[in-house]
Amino acid sequence: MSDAQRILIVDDDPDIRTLVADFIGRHGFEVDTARNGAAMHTALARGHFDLVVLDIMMPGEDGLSLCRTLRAQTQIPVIFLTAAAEETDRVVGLEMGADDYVVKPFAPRELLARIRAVLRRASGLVAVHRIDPAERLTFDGWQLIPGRRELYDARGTLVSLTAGEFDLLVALARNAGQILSRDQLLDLTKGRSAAAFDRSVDVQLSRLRRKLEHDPAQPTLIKTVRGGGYLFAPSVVIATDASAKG
Amino acid sequence: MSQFARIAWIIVAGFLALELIAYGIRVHDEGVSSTGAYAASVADRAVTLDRLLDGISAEEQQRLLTAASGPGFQVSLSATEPQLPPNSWRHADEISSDLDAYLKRAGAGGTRIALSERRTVTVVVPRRANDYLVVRADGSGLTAHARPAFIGTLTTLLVAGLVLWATRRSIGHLPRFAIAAEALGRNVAAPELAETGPREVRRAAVAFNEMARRIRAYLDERTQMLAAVSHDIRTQLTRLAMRLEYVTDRNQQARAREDVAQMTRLLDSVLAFSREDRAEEPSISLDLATLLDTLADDARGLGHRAQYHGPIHCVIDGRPTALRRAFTNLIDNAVRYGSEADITLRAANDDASVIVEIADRGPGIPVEDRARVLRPFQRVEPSRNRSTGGTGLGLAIAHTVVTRHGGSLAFVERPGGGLIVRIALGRTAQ
Repeated sequence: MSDAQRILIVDDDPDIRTLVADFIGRHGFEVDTARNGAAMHTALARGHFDLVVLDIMMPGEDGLSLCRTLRAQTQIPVIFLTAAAEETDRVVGLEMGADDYVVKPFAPRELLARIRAVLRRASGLVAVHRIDPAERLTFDGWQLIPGRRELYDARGTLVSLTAGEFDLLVALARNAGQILSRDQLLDLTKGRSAAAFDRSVDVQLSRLRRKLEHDPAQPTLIKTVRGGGYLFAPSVVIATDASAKG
Repeated sequence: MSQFARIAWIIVAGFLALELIAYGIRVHDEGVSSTGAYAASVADRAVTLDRLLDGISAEEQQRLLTAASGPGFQVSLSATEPQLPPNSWRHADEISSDLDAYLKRAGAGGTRIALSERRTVTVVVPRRANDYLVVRADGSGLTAHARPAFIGTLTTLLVAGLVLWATRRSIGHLPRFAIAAEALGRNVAAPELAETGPREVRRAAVAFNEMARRIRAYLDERTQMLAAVSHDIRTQLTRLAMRLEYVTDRNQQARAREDVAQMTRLLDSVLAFSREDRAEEPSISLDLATLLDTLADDARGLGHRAQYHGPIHCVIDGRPTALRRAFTNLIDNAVRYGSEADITLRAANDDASVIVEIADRGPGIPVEDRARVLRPFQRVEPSRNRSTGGTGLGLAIAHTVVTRHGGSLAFVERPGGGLIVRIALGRTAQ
């Protein structure tokens, strides 16, 4: 029992606290709850937690602000619970440094899956989904913003990608200049989009090329290396300074 | 006819009427005064000549007569009394009796005057030498009065032009109202109308802006209320979803989960619809082709038949989240009710806008229902909706988004069966 991972649930609704704690607890985690920011800080001071599930809309100090304080102090992963389905709210949540979010009402199993995914990522590899809100990747005139899941071309036009294509591009751009095998790319992009967009890497790559390359038959950005593998050719500038936000 | 054209016609007709009346008065007055004065001047010269002719030699008399004559003015001496032509001028009798009285006072009684054809004035002065001085003027001096009349017309035209210009300036405010009202219809956050111009126009502009403010406040209030209600319902739905974990009847549990999912979709749609009215998202340059391609791919990822046909890139100005929501709804409808979504993108004939068509193989929408289904919660067929889980807002949201972008949405019969939703969007922001 002592090696069970510990989760802290922060929500102002007592029923949700109890229900979530009970459900998560039944699936092999050790759970504690807090009804507001002060209680959260007390709990964190008392013991170690592996992950915080944080409600955004709470009386007093809200979840966004709590997350900001938390980020300034620790690297503890955070999953937001949000009642707002608006895309802008989601983006704000991720920009505050949350690792993921779940929109209310959520299926309990979905929350469980997200908790497990975030914990798995936090335990090792440099994953696609780690969010640095200020991160900007620029290459060949393109601008890629992982935190907002947005891609702009050289003229500043917003170009749409599927979740899978986006993850693949982030993985390629973050590892520019290195030859990545299909398996490595699969590993790097494994995450929340993998289940919904179960498509082969090759199909996604060809679709990415169609959207990004001037001539998809003569790719200059994503090159296929003989013997199996892909290479992101252009030089990538990674900006993480918050002042560089555009 | 435009407001300005109407007012222009009224002004021109008014000036024309005034000018005609003034002309009539002038014609009468000149008939009496200017022709009378002319006749008097001729008589004066005749009397003066008669006096100058007295007491000089016949030779000198002849020189004087020659010198006094000129074009249109003949002076001669006649031994016999000449026959006077009959009076024919308008007001001639009135004028000649005035002149008789004047000549008598000037000591030239017996002088006779005739105002005859072609404005000719003939004056005969009986002389002591028993001959007669005859002066005949042919009225050529009278033509000068046409000039002042011409200058008058020019002045009138100039004044009329000024009045028309001023009118155009002052009613030029009306089109501003039309433009502002149109912009407000597309976007309640449209910039305010400038409160300038004549007093009535300023008051109307102030009232217009006040109305726009009230509409915005009303929409804000509605959105806030919906957001509050939505937040509370979501909290309760979350508890419900958690409690469903304890339901042992798997069949009922699955159905109840679907109920929760459907209520969530409804909440999302209602909020999306109310927010769309505010059109708060800024318009940016976006690639519509990759958006549609991505949405088709997402639909395929969910196991639906969806295909995108069109260019790889197509840049337009638009609000990305709103457009994504609109096209997601339309593609969702197509795969839900019409088993497939065939998405095409092409340039419109004028090239200033693009046409997106989303075609399915469903039963279509009866012509009489087409306007109705664009309104919120108006379903094509209420009974069918329950089993397919629609919210009754998908088309309304899509229609609102397209309209707010200045575009249009229409339903077209698909050859071979099915429905085509045709959307026209301008390439540049409205």
